[in-house]
Amino acid sequence: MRSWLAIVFLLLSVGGSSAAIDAVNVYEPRKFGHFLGDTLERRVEVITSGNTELFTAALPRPGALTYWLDLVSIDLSEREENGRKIYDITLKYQIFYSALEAKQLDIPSFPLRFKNPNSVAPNGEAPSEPSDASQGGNYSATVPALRLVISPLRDIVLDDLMPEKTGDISDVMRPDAVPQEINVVPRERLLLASASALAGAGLLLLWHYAIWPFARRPKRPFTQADRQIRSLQSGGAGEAPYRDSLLILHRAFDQSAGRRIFAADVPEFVAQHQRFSTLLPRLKSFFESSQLYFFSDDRRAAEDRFPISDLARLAADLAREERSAA
Amino acid sequence: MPSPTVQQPQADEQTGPLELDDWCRCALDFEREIAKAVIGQNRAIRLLTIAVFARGHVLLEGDVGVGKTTLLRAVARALGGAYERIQGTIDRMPSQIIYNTYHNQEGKPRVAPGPVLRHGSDLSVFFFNEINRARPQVHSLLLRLMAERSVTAFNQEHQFPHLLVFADRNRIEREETFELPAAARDRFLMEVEISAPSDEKSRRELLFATRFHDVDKLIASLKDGVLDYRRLNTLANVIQNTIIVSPALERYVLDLWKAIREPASAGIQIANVDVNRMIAGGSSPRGMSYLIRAARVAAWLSGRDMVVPEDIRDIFHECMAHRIFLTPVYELRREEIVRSLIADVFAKVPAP
Repeated sequence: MRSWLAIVFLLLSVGGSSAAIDAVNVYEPRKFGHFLGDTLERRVEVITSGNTELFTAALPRPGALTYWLDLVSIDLSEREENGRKIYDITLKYQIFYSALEAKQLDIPSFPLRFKNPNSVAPNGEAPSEPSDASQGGNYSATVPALRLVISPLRDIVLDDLMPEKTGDISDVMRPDAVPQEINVVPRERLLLASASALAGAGLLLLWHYAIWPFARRPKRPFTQADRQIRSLQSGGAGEAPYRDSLLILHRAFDQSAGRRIFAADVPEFVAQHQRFSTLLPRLKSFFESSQLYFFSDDRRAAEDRFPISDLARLAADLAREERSAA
Repeated sequence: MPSPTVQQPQADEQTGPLELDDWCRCALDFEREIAKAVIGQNRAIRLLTIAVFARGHVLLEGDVGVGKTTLLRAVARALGGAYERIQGTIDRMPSQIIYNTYHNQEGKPRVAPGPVLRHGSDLSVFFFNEINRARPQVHSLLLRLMAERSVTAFNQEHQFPHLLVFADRNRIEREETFELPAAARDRFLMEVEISAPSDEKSRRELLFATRFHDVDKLIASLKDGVLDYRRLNTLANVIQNTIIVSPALERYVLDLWKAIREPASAGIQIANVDVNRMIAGGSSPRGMSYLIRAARVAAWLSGRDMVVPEDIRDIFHECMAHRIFLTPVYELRREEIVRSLIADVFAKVPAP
């Protein structure tokens, strides 16, 4: 049971003053018998009246206060009763002082600040607070330091509970907890499975797009033709790129059908490869121009009717249809 | 490639501007006229038309009674000009083709011109029925008639500038027949296989339409001389000089030729056949040049001014199959082997 300690900053307003700090009540825990790791709570109750308000932003913040003491938390609640404002402040501390013998230490004091403390400072000031309020009409109060007696833990343990132990630290301390081993085998398996699935999917993708090492995939003649024609166009090599492109595409048709495809075979070819049916007019036009190019004297007309850009586009479309057919 | 020249000792009787387009329409009329008498044989009719305009001789082959003779008679009728027909028999001597000897009413021996000479240079179609029943001597005579369009008789050379030789043979019997010598076979532009029409409609019409019962009446119902046979030689020359054969196509035909002669080098494969030892010979340069002649005509009939690989492919079997000679071990399977050889050659040789 924590002791009730009323350190009353009795701030009685004089006469008809309308605003004042009426009281600051500090409820302290016991002052002795604290050990390393203990937590303790102090409660501070501040009562104001009129338009005087506690300046809550000035309250201490959780964190390390000294090397041996942390403020773990600070809770503030506010209520009104009979025209007065009552602030309840709960401060929770934790002690990190490893005492070798009983020792007195002080929880440091901290000030409370107020808004509109426009009352005249009372004569009976708080004993611990020689306030400077008298100068500026500003009044503040201080939560005083708390002196604690902190007891050593080791001797008690050693002497009373574990008499068989020596004073050696390794003997006294509990052995370190064995870390729980996390079983990674299922995850490794999962990783392996997903990695192989990824590799498989990657290979399938390469296969689908006929990229190395499947670049020479026999069932992707148009993909290869498309690539060759593009490299022909970009490279600009060869004395007759149009002728070479025509030949490349013809060979792709031949390979796709498994025999030589002539212009007259186009409808049959398309009937067998339904995917290309949307390209039929362009296929016909390609074969007609190719006939003109190779078998008549009029090469110029062939190139005008079906320019190399159309040819490259047709090859790309054929390659795309070929992929989506698979 | 040497281009074949057709001997043309006599100038054409009629000259005039030759409009290829008009003639093409004429040729299609010619086909339609023949098709009235011979139904379900459109391909054979097209091949015969090609042969007529390429000025090449044709050998028809097929079962008995499928209309070989009717077809040839229809062609002769539509072509106009004089038409002669002889039957190949084992006892026919070559001289009987050229002249007849007989005793006249007074009992004196007489000599009269035979079937070949009877019509002089007007002879446009000479039809040799069952050619494989004639003796080799007759075949030899035929060789000269076909190659040079001339014969020597009565110490005189007779020219037949408009002559086309059509022959037929059936494949049913082999007794009492003489296989045509390779040289004679090579002189035919085409060997066309005739089989009964396969579609139901044609078969029904052929069997039940009364007009097909009397062949003579049927042939007589056709229009006579749809084409002017006397102008065909000139026309053929114009066609040969007009229709373009590009260097790419020349390359292609040379590749085809090489593939036929050396199938192994072109990667040809035929089931159960050693392609290295399959070919004994044949596919002569003459044959290849005939092929190009026919391909030009085929392109012209299709309304094109250039030969494309399809033209070659369409007529290749008819023009070349009979010129390919297999080693004896494969000769019995000839039909099947040659067919797959040609199919594979066209599947493998790239064009262009």
